[in-house]
Amino acid sequence: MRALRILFTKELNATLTSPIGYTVAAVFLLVLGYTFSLTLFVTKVANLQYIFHQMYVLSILLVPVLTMRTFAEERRSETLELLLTAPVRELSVVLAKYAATLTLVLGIFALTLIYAAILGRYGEPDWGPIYAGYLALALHASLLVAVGLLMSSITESQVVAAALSIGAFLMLWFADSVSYLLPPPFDSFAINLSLIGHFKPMVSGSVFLSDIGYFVTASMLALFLTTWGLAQR
Amino acid sequence: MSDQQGSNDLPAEDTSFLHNLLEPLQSLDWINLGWFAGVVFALAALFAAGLKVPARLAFASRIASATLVVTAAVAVTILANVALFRHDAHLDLTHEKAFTPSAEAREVVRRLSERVEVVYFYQKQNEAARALGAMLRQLERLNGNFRVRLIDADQNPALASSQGVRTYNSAVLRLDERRVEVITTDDREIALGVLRLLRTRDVVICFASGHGQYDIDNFEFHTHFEGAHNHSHDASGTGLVLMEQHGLGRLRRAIEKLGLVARKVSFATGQPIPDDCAAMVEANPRTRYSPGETDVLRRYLERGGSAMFLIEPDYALDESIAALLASAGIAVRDGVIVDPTEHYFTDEQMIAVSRYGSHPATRGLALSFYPGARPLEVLPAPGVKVTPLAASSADSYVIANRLGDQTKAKSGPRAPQIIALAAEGRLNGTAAAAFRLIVAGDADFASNSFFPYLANSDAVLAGLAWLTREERAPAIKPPVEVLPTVSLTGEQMRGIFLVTVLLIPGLIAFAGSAMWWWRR
Repeated sequence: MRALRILFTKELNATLTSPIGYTVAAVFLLVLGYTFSLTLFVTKVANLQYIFHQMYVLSILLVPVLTMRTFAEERRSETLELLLTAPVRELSVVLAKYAATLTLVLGIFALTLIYAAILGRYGEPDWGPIYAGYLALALHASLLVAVGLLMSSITESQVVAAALSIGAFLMLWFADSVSYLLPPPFDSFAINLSLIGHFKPMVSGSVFLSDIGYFVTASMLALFLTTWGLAQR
Repeated sequence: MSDQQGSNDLPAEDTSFLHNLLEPLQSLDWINLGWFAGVVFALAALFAAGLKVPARLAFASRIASATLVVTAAVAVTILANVALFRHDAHLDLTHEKAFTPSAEAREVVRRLSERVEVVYFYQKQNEAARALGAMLRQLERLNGNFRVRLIDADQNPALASSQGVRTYNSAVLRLDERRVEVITTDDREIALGVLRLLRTRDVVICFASGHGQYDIDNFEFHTHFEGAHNHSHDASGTGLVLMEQHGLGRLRRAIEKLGLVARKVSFATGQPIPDDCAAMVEANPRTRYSPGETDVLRRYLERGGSAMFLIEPDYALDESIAALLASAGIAVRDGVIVDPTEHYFTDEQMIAVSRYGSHPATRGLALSFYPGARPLEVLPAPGVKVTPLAASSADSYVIANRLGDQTKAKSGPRAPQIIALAAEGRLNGTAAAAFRLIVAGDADFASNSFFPYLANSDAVLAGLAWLTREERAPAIKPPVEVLPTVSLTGEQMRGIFLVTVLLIPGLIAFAGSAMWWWRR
């Protein structure tokens, strides 16, 4: 546990001193702030559903930028072998990188709480869907970061890692659209594989345990494969 | 005492906040929550064990071993999700409980004493259909007599076809040999379907025809003109879109949704009104009755019939009908009511009614409005109980016609004017049974143009429920959802824009630049 804490602190420091995180956060918040204010001024509706969907899409494009360097950079600079031969378990290495990147992503998401505060200040929003929306975003981010780490762990090129991640996220996003072409039970499988299918009900305030389970178990699968893959080296 | 005092000191909002927070948790299915924790824990344990698997299994090559491990990991994850899906639990966090069955639907299901089976053929891609499926599962847990099967219509086309289902999102409700099909994604429609299924006899509402009355077969929507740039209800529009006469199409559809039967009847042939007419509706007659036709109606009421008369101000009532109504304790007066106090928008002749007489037909009614109504009066009638249902305010007065000089009427005496009333009793000593009668000095309020607005539909349907002696049936109304809105001044808008678009991203960019400078 101590090794995990030390590795986490090291990873978080590396993340916070890298300009990538700030660039991603600034772009993310600029686009969201613009969308939020214009949507609020036009519709005058006190909810964040549209913003949550915007955050969902932006996360798919921006999280790979944050995860691409986690293992790929270490492989390219040949520090990964050094790390893996140190007296720490592969699981600790993976969990530390995962927790540090997820903390950064959730930190960026936390800055958007200002939108909820504005709605609370000037209106009477329905808080239930807002709580559920942030839960959905956190789970979504957890899955994206885990898959991003997996992609970064199989290549030493950051660009390839980012491209693989975006490809995987887009495939998961649109997984349900091929269900029409598939025979049962594969069509149900395709529908339930869809990211948006599990995300959308939650941001509207309808929380199913199975939707939470999808994000949790898929994150666990990605983390397991990353750890097992590293352990085989 | 001190505890009591302490709780009294708490602001009301604190209690409601706590209640709002705890309410979803109380409704949570803790057994399935246990399943969730168990499945996630089991998966974590399996993965932890999986990390011990060597890179190359003894019986396979390295690539085959990796493929096997990855396949096994994906498979157990899928199985875990199947288990979670089969033991799912739902939490509705919306204030309006938009994803929870309505109170009316829950009440209908709770009351079920016979086994009703619902097979819902839904389309999996349709979010609303999936939401209704989840609501049906919630309803199923309320009463063992309510059994639900959810079937993907795309996966089971043969089954759908064998049940006579041709459309997505169709619910087939069965009780013994009886069957009702409802095409919907709304739980209230399912509840209405259950009510129709439980009805053991056809309740027929007969609509009088032959005197130019409002038709029940016309378009649902009101007459209007559609211009290039606007929508209007007069001839100022530039293009004619639809020009059907006003009618009762919307009322007929509402009646049929409730499982009642709407039918037209005519008195012109002199044939008696059929006994299966649970209520007879005379909506806005345009030509006068003959004495023979009035006799047909009288005999129907003497047999214990029920009738609803909706009479517009410009209709000259036949003497025989006036006499029949007088024997039921009702007089229909001439003129148009003007109410300077209680009216809808700025039209003083569009009477708004928010307080009603105490009667089963007015129980729980909200605001309704009557565009152009004539006054009614209660007459003494032995053996008949007459109840005013709706009246204008005490500031009201009556004008002879809408276009004439109103100076005299305005300065004259003012008093509440009765707009609608109900009568019940025996028409005379020889009558076989007690009649029920509702008379309104207006017909427009029930027409397509005004039926859906405010509580007008409730007023008409509650009246019919009383006339058909089903006033105790549950009332199911469509939901009214209102989105929470924000009103901002120009200064507030500028402030929000500056903070969200410039300040926060700017601060992050500044922090990034400072970090880069410091590390440089």
